Amino acid sequence: MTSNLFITSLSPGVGKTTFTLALALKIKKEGKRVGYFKPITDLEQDTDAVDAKELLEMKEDPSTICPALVSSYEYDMTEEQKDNIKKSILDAYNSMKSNYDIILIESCRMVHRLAFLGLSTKELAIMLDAKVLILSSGEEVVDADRLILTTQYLKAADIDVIGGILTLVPQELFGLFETAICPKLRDQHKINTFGLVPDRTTLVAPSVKEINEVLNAKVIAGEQYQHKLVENYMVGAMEPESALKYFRRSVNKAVITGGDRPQLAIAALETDTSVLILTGGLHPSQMVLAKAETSKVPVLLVAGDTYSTIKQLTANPVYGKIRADQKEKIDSWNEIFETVKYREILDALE
Amino acid sequence: MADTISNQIKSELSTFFNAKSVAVVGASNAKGKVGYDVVNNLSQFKYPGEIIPINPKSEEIQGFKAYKSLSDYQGSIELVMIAVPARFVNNVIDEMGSLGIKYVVIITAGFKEVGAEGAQLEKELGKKLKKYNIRAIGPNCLGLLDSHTPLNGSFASSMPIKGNLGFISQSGALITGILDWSLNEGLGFSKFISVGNKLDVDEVDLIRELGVDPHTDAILAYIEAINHGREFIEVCQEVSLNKPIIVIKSGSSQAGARAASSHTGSLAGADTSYNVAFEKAGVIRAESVQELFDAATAVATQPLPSSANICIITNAGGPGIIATDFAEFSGLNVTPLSADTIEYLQKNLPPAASAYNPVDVLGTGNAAEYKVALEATLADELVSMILLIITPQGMTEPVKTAQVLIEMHKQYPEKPVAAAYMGGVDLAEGSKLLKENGIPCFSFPERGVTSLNGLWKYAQIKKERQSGYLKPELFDVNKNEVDEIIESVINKGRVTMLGSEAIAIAQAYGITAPITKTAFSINEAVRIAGEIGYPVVMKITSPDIIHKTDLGGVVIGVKTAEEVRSNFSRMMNAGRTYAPESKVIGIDIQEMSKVGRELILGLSEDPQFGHLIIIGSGGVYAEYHKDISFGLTPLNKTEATKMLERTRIYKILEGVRGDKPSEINKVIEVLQRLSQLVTDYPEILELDINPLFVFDEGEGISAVDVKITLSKEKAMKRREK
Repeated sequence: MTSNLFITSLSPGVGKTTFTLALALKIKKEGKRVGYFKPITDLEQDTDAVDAKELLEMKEDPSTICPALVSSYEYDMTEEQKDNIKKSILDAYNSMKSNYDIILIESCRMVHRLAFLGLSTKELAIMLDAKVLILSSGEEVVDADRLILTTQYLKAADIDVIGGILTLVPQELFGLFETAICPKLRDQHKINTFGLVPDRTTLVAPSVKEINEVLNAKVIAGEQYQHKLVENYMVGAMEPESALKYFRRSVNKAVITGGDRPQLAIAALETDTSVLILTGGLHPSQMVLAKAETSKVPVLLVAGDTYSTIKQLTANPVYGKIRADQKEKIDSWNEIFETVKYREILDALE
Repeated sequence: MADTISNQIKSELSTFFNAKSVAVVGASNAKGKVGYDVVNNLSQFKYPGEIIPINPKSEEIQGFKAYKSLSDYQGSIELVMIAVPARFVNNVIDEMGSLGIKYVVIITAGFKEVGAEGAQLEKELGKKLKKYNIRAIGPNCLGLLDSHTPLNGSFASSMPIKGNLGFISQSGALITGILDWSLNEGLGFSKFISVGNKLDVDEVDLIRELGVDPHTDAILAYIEAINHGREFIEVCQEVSLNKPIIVIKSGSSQAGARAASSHTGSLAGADTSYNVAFEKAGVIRAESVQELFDAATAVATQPLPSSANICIITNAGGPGIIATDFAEFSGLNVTPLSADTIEYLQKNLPPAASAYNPVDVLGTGNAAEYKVALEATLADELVSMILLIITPQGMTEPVKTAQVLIEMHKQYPEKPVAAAYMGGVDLAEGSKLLKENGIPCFSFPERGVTSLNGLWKYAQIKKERQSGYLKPELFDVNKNEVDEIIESVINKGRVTMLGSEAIAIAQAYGITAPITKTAFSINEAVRIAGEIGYPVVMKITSPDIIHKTDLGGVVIGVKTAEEVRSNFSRMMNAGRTYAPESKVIGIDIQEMSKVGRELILGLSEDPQFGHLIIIGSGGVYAEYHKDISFGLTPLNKTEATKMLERTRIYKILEGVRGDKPSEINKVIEVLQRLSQLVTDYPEILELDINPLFVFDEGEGISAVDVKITLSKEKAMKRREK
């Protein structure tokens, strides 16, 4: 008998895909047959299925692992079209289920997505007979509110919600969550939190390469260092004397500055910088590029100005993924499963 | 083998200058090629050793037998000069490695300076040099010249006059320009070295080398950026005990710094740190090429003055006053003359002459009258140096006066002299005579002052060096506490400390500060405030908020739990509005401190020189007071004291208008303790105490606000150790 766990989230960017794949890897390591299934995507080029296939060594085609595409431009679809989508999901699921002891099913975006079409987490979890695990941001304690309401909503539809995971939790707030928030969630609201995932770059941050998928910039140095992870953006527009002090306050950062500001570029390279994004289409001097090369920092050149570049980046948030070649990320997640109650999640699936 | 090469003291790099055989890889018969010039220069300037041209296609280069490769030559090769294209250089190094040749000058360009690909090539070159243990000058340099060997291993077109100045330059073109000028001026050099990209040998190695070179008495350098700052300071501190080091560092203006960064790929903007480093190192900084050589001319020929007291002798009032002003502004002392001197001058000079400093022998002054003035002033114990000014007038005897000055200087060889021969054609012969006899002579009085001032600066440095260096004091501190805090901050993924953490670090290093704890919820805040005792101070704390006062993030004198509650929400909301993306915002609850005089202290790691430390007037107007003095760690007590004494607020701390004096010794101690902190924990990149309250003598100090930024990488490195 295959156990199904539907993993959903309350907001984007909390590390849902990464967590799902990391959890799958952990289960696989124990010798269990584990599969990944994403019934619906809203992206033409969704790489999750491909990543999962490679990471978990699945036999199925990506088109089986992620059978349906529903974009946000087809909310006017007919009942017949909806039925076809449901059918394709069921067909795909049925074709793979016997190959696995456990299938981790990932929702499209967040819990309420596609509710209008009756294809949200609630309907799909019922259709696929899956228990549900909810990922929620734990950046602030008020995030607990939504977790409670969503759990109550799903439970009202007779769905077995096994509990929640709080991610992106600032380590300064761990104490508060552990002593005041989580015990109340358990005792008063009957929500089991399996663990707190700290806000740590190595878990969810995107790589330079992933960021460049938004920018389409020319890589003019440090091409081989694009795997570096980016946690923050900083704009270099200050007086050169204060640049160092400012840049030092942030790690794993992308620094965006004009190509004609060599001192800022060099100050950024003196600090913990993951990528230098030079704007205005202005090529820096060769010495700056040489310095980037020795500092092992990729340099991207974009035609737009600094303001439009930072706008472009913040308007299109990039979420880091987990891929087979990212050993550092996989290792970090393994560490997390030392503290997240991984065993309890498995027990809840039995 | 040439035996004319003197057997100098064998130092690490001396072979570069006195090699008994030099191979030129890329030697050529074609004029206009670097490989032609190098062979031609070795040969035409009479290099006494073996010249070994390497060229796979020629049998003979400029009359010397050529060899196909280094290994083709049967004898021993001590030094290799490379002038082949960049892509072939690494092969030459491999060959040197297998033959065991240890010294190379890589003139070839096309490395780091041309971009990423060149940087890669240079990186490989660097690895090979290390592997074979080869010392290299360059790449991308002019080469080197030694007037004593003589060895002209460069593509410069002339050879310097034999002399005692050693010149190191990061610009090859500056060397060719100065070389040409020096021939005209009759100024002699021992060595010229163009360091190029400084892949291996840099100014630090060369200053050390010139420091022990018997032919060099003064070291000059043109520097765009220093890569090994700490070592630079240590080496210069040692060398400047015996020889003056005068440096011109470019890139001190905004635009200049931008150009220098672009040109060298290193951070050139921190001009302040260069100034502080030069001072600590005992290096004289020249602001212009002219100043560099004006000072060099004096240090090459004149003795050191025993004080800043200068006497100016002139035959014209105007130039005398100009020189007086300039001397005073430069830090020299235009000294009153002794009563005996004045009496003698009044008796022996015309009645209208001025017997006071500046001594004016009048437009009618001839050589005999200059002699009178010189005799009296040189003999005067109050006078330590003399500037003689002459302008062409009716009775002027420029040549005879020069002879007098030369003669008098021989009688008083312990007192430095310089001359300003203000004019051109009429004074040319006298000026030439002075220079030939080792007396600095310039066309304008200011340059004469600059020249003598260079001597005085070095005299002070030398005296300070001779008195020895006081070791920084080691205070009793709690390192375990600091270890724990740093580890916890890094583990939480931060590099910026919360207020409470930074305060705890200061306390662990014996710097008094009020009790401070961070709360993330209202109940926690009320509990902490209760423990500390009301009234308390509440301050927002977040790695993403620097100027907390601006957003209403500081409240003083919070008296009750209710006030804590209402302030907490308001401050947190203000913080969230100010830094919407910040993940960590809390409130520091702090014990109330009484108010004292406000100082600011700061530490910032300079990428070249280590930690720069500042102290100055604090408070909200600190930025406008600009009353700040700088130092470089490690600081000893003398340096810390000097730093504080240089601030304007020091006078106020001493007590003015009937105020009690403040706790000055504790402030000096705080500087030293901070220095010890960053020496123990180099991962502390930035540290600010603003304000540090200083109370009346006997009542101590209090660091009420502390900020610290760490380097994760350096913290990890230290932990591994």
